[in-house]
Amino acid sequence: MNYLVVNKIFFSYDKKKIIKNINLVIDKGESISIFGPNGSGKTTLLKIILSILKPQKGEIILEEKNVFKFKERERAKKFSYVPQKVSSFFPMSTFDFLILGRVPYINGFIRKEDREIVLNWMEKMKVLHLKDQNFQLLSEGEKQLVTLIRTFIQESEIIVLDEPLTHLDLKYKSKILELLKEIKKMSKTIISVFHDLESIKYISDRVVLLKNGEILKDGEVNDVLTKENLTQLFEENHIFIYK
Amino acid sequence: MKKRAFVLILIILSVLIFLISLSYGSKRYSILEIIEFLMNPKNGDELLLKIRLPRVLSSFLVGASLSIAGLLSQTLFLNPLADPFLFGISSGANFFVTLSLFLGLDMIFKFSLSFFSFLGALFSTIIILLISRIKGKITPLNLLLAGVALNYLLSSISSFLSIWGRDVLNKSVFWSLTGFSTINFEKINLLLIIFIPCLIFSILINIQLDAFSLGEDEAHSLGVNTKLMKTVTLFLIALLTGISVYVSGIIGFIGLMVPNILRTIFGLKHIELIPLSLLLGGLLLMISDLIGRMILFPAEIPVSIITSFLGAPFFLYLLFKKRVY
Repeated sequence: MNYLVVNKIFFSYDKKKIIKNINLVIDKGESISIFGPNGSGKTTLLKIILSILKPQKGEIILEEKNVFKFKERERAKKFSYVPQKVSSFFPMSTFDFLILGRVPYINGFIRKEDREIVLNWMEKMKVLHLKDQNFQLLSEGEKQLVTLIRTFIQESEIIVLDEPLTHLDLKYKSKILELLKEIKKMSKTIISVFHDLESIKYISDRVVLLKNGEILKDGEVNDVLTKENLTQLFEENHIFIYK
Repeated sequence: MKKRAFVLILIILSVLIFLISLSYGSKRYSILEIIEFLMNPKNGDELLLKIRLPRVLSSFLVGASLSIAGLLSQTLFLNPLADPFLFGISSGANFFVTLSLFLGLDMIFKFSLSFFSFLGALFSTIIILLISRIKGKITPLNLLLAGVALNYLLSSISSFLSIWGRDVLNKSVFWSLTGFSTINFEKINLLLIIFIPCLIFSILINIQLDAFSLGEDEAHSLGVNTKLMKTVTLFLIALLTGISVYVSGIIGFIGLMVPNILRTIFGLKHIELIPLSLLLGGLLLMISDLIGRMILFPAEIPVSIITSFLGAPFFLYLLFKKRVY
């Protein structure tokens, strides 16, 4: 049985075709990255997988069930999301931010056990000192770290990350990458977008090159991230790759 | 500790202002007389029972309704500047009431004005949503702009209708400015019938509202049915605003001030923010009404003038405090 299937996805916005016939089969526990130039449709594809956006054609199948037919709470137990930048529109403590990871499990009111789960993870991940701090005022690195920790609290099987390292300094980049490595060991599935090759090589087993909403190449990291493929992807002859 | 002290002060002040509001007026009563009256209201003074008690109760309830409507609007529209007044929801209610007076529909059934008031508030909220959706997703800024534009448009049409039909002018000016001075227990019962279910519903969706504070995509990925949540919240805002406008005319800024003050102290949790909005909103409007009765005694200043006087500087403060919207 296939775990997660992205089946013949088409998506347009304002008559512009953004995703054109994307097909992917993702195994349980696999770490896959989507890589491509700006505007190639990476974020749109992630949002379709998360069912935030509904494609005009095609379907996302998880364990033989159409993701768009999942109840919201059931879906949130399967998928969690770490966006490029998490912004809270109102002041909230870091603890209150984290406890939102329990929303799929809560009927109306937060229980004692939910609080305990959050506190345990905070302690385990050494962020207990941030508990009462205003989440809005944390550094970008702390925010991303806390958001990643929320995926544990949400207990989801699949973690979808959209350029989580963009605004971070080296310290937090390393921290997040280490944590992602740990997540991999927990046999969770990771679907990510990074804008640097080092992170992909560090975290992913497989990479998909996306160009103008279509898959250019799909395969193991070392086979796909070659100079020839990247030159074709970016239409630029001077692609420079660190070895 | 700070939070507990705040709640305690809020409760003590509410009781105190409630008693003072009852005692103050053309005929004054001692606090002792007021307490005696409250122990056994049926044997009390007609003035206290039929005029002052309904007035004070309704100002508390309207303040609570508007504050909760403000809180829900801010969360729904992800905008700390959202307020039923600024977003044109109150003007929608006012417009429908004026229109029904103009067309002579105000006497179709007993509470027909309240029904039109609700319809008008709903009309406005839906219009804002539609306007903001013309270009795809709703951003906080285009919603605020849509609301302000709608507010002006509906207010000007209401004024036009009032001037055109002179009879309407008398009725609507009387209706919108008298505020709490024409209140009776029938209106309070109606207010309670709307307010209590709205309060319970808001509390039931507290955790979804919390998640919604991070934006629609985040709420979705946390397991919130965002479409259903938005619809329910829209109805709650329309009901709470509609009934408030029906009871007391347009009162601005309470819905803006109260949730913003509370959020800075209590943060995110709607399970705390909702009951606290009830309390602080009720208290603020009771105080505003009391001030309105005191300043030019024996003349009365409409409560909306007092809240605008307090709220407009607060609005500017919010604008300058958080520069980007």
